[in-house]
Amino acid sequence: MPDFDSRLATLADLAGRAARVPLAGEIRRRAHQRTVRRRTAAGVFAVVVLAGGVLGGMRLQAPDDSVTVTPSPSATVSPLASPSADPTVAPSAAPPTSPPPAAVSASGECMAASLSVTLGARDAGLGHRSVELVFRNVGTAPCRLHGYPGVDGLAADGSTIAQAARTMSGYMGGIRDSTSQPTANLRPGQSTIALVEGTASTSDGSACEGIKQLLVTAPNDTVSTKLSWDTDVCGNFQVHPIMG
Amino acid sequence: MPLGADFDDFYASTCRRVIGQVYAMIGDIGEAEDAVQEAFTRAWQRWSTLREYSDPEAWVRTVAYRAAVSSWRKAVNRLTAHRRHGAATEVPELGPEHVVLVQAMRKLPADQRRVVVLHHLVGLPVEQIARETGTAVGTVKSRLARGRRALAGELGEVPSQERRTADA
Repeated sequence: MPDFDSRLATLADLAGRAARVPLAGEIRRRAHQRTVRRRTAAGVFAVVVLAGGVLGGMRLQAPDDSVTVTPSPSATVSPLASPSADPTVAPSAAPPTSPPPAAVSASGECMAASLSVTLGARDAGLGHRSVELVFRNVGTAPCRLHGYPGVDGLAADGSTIAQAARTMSGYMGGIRDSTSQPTANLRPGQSTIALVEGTASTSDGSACEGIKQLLVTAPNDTVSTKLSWDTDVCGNFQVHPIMG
Repeated sequence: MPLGADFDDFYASTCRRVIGQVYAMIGDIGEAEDAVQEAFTRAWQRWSTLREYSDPEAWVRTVAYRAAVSSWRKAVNRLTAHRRHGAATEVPELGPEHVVLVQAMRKLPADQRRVVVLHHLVGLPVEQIARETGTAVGTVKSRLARGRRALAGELGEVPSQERRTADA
């Protein structure tokens, strides 16, 4: 039996390797959205969720990590070299510190350069609303999509209201008869969908500020597309996996 | 090197390790993922300062641990309970030998578990643990001693003492 230290190290290593981690660009994008949101002081239920709590100050190694809603000094720290206000919008824009986006990843996944992302069928019933996100391979090579797209719900001014929770299925659809997420193999011209849904009421009965736009990122990608979905969803905002 | 590129390198080379460390401290992989993601998001917001620190990884780990255990965060999670739907708490594919270790660690009080992880997994000496946790050296030593005793009782072996200084 290996010693305690080795066993603990193996356990932590397994956990680290099994973890789902977003790409660095996704982290930077979220941080940027928070900085923008603080400046505009907009947003409804997710601002409280995402804005962070007051944490105790740290000694020696770091400044106080308390989070306030005043314009953050990190506005100058946010070192996004691109002159545009939101460098992640526009499917073909290359992030300033990276090479131009690939059409297909090394492991065969569809990337932004070969995908068109549009809205498909809408549905509603009993206070629930849904819309399909349609991912079409507009490239010249086959590619695959698997898992959850990143979906943020935006207000009319572009500020983030909420991030869609990743759930296998919900009231309006999704993957109900399986515990595994399918893989969509898309030849050029083929498309697949992922369902976004929500309810037209808040969970605590407060005033409903409906989502007006969706900011969509394909699974395992960092480039986003903004789509207009003018609806009255303001609760239980969810996205289901890519369909096979 | 542009600021974004060195943050990306820092993130890529440290995030899984930090997730493993925070997981070992709190025993919930989903919470560890979320808390570490939160910490790196804050790290990017103050990267031009943080990148000058001698140990930005320790900063991220500390912020992540505090985020994971904060009672405020737990209240938020209750409100957004549907968000955890289907997300994992357990690490998949843990063999029986790991399950025994996880169960033994879970029986420790959180403070002792954190100190045990910082010493035995992260490899920090007691003085550094005291700084990272914001507690006195004596408190760290007593938590470490009690944690080790409890684990020895559960696991039938005494965790390696090695030659870490100022342990007593």
